[in-house]
Amino acid sequence: MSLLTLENVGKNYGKLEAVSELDFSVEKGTIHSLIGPNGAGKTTVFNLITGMIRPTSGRIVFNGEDVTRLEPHKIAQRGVARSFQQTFLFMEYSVLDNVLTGFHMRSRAGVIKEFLHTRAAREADKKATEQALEIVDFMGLSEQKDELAGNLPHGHQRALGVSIALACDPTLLLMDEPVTGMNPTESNEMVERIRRIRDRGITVLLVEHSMRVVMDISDMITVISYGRKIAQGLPDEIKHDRQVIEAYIGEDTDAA
Amino acid sequence: MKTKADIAKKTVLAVVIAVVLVLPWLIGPYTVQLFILTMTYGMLGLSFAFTIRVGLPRFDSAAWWGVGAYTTAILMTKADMSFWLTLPIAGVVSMVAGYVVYRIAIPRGMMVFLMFGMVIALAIQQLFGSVEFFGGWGGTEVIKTPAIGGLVFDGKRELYYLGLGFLGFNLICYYALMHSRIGRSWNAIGQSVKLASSVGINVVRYRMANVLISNFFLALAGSFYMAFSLVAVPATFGLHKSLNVIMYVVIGGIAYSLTGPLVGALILAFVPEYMRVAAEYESIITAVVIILVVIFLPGGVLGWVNGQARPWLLRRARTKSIRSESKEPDSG
Amino acid sequence: MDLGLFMQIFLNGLMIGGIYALIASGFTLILGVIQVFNFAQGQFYMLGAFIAIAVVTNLGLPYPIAIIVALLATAILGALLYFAVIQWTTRSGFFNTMLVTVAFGTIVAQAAMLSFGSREAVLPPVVPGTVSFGGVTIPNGKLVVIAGAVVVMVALHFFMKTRIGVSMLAASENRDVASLQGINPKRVFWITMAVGCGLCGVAGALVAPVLAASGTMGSTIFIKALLVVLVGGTGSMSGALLAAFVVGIAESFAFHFFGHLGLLVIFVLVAILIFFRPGGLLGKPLPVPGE
Repeated sequence: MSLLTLENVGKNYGKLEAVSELDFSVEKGTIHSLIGPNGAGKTTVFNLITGMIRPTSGRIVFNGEDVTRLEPHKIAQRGVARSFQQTFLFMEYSVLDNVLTGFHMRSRAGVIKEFLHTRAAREADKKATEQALEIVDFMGLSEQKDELAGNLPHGHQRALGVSIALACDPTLLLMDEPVTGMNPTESNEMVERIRRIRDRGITVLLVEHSMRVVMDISDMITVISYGRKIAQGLPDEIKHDRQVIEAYIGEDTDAA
Repeated sequence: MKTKADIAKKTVLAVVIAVVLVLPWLIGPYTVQLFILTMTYGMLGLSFAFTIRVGLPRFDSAAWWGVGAYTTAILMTKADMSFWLTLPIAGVVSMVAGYVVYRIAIPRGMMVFLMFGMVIALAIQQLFGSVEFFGGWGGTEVIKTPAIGGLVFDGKRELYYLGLGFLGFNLICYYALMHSRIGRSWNAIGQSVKLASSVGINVVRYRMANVLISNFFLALAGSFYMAFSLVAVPATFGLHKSLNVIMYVVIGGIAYSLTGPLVGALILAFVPEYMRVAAEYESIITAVVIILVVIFLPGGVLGWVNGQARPWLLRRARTKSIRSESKEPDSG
Repeated sequence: MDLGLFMQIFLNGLMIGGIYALIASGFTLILGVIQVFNFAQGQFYMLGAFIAIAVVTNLGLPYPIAIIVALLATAILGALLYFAVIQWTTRSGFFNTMLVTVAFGTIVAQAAMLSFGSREAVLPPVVPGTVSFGGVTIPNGKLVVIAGAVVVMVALHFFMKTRIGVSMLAASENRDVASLQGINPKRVFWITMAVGCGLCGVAGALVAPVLAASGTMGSTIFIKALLVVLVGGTGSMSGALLAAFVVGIAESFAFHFFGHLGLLVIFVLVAILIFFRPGGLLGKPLPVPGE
């Protein structure tokens, strides 16, 4: 069943069409990859899904609900989480505190209610800390849990970004280039983790440049070029699709 | 476990509070007046530091300060209201007017908010000056000095303690808010708006709440100012003053939301007194000081102090633990 | 309203608009290329006016020379601002750098007032007399300002096409790409400052024969320049240009109809515009909250 559907989604900036007539669906419980040459519009698609920018045409449906015009925090509250390509972290917080922010936002009941420091709130805090530690452990950051996010090496910062997204207890996890810049060992670890995330019941939509990883891990692949969908299918089909190969000619694909 | 730093901080705090409480008896009335001004400007700085925590630098602090002052002045002169009753009204007026204006600016981000602030600063000053009801450019009528029961706040000492009351209330409220769950959301927003949004924080709503609370306390500072100056003149509440407020915070140290503005206001109030230069060079000297502080002390005065104190504190701690571990006399 | 009056107000608006165009362009340039919010912009304008007046009245030199002197003086001062101050504060962040320009502006303003005297200074009209056409009488001075502003804007346009101009645009788009192309950022930055501040100096010099120069003219014009930038869309030079004339003309009419409250009217109109079009007239529409 489709968890996320983009229907004829388009985004232009004046005459520049960043994305046009984009139609695809992500099935629940799968790892779905979005690939394409540089500048194809993949990050734009993510921004559209998470509500950071609004489409100029089309609809986005998540879990049966039209979320096209919703603000980012509302979409986040509905179970869409995202790890970013650039590192957006709470630099002055520790790793654990960063992850905890994902939990505190789960019981959003409005500004006034939060002000009351009830016992229920304190118990929720304790539970959140336990779960946060579990996520930190899962992502291999246990040793750094009290380290300031700003002091972490790049690879750990990316892992932290994913941890924060997981802390939001998402139904759909968007991952923007999770293994870019990682060495083969780190890369393999991340791939394993992504699989385990999927096995936990979280649907993953992935943007990634490394063809090796994409072919290895994806249940389904959508290929876009110049903002348009040019192919969709299983890894084997995509590997041999002529249009896809043409689109990538001249691109430095990751042969490793 | 009490660290050296904790003890040092608490000691300093205790000493400061003690001194502050008995100050009027230790110094002359002119100096007391400087302290009163410091408190007023310090409160303005507190409210600036408050909104900068969510990434919104406000350039209209003086305008809302003026709104509070004028509300108190108008209600006291034209409606014969008691000073104390005007306080909550001034606060609410400031919040409501602020909401109307910021409804437009806040969702558009920091840049628009910043520029809007400047425009508002000018607009509100123009409003007070141009409209006859507010007394025009000459200012309002003089208000009566406030009083509780038999105690009239007309002397410097009384005003000092009144100011301390206002300042204390402001500090307590801000401290409580910043350490609450709302405060955590504000912190998150201040560090990364995008990420905060991603984890489900309604950035616009939290920022709006923050700015409105800041407005409330700015207005309160305005009402206090009226008790002291007894008349409200538009020229006081201009962009120039709003810029000064930012200076206090930066000089004190922008990371120190509660103490920075007070330290900054203190420095900028007293340093010119001791410089004894002709009045016309005063603003140039202040400007040069600002530039030097930003270049050489980017963390502000408190940031610098903290940087100096830390190694000293660590050294003392290390020495102490060596002493307690070995039974031999300390040779260090 | 008869045509004559309308034209007078309209041309007055064009004149004001021309000045705004110079100042707002300079500001947008500095903001875009160096990412510095130059608070001293208005003070350079005031300085330009005072210098032009001093050159003509004290030194007895012809007006065109005065304009050039004002331009050079403010450009050099702008470059100085970069070398002495801004280049050291950019690492402290956007906000601190902005404060430093506030401080620098204060120094410039105060120093100008001390050197030139704080009473209002006036320059007698340079091209005396008036021009009449179709029942409308316009003082020549105002036309000179409009012409001057247009000339400078055209010159700026061509300047932006030169190699250094293109580097400036490249740096504003993407700093990393720019340095990859071998462009020396420091050079681009001080030239940007010089150009941005020089534009204000010229504006001040142009305005001196028509409006009285005073100590507060700097801060007042700065706020209005910000309004123009807001209306045109932050970061867009062509937006600033269009907005400058729109705001200038609107202001002229507002002052005619509402007197002193005219400024308030403009503020309200700008607020309404920003509400419906947050990106201004030509700026990119800002994204949904999420910065």
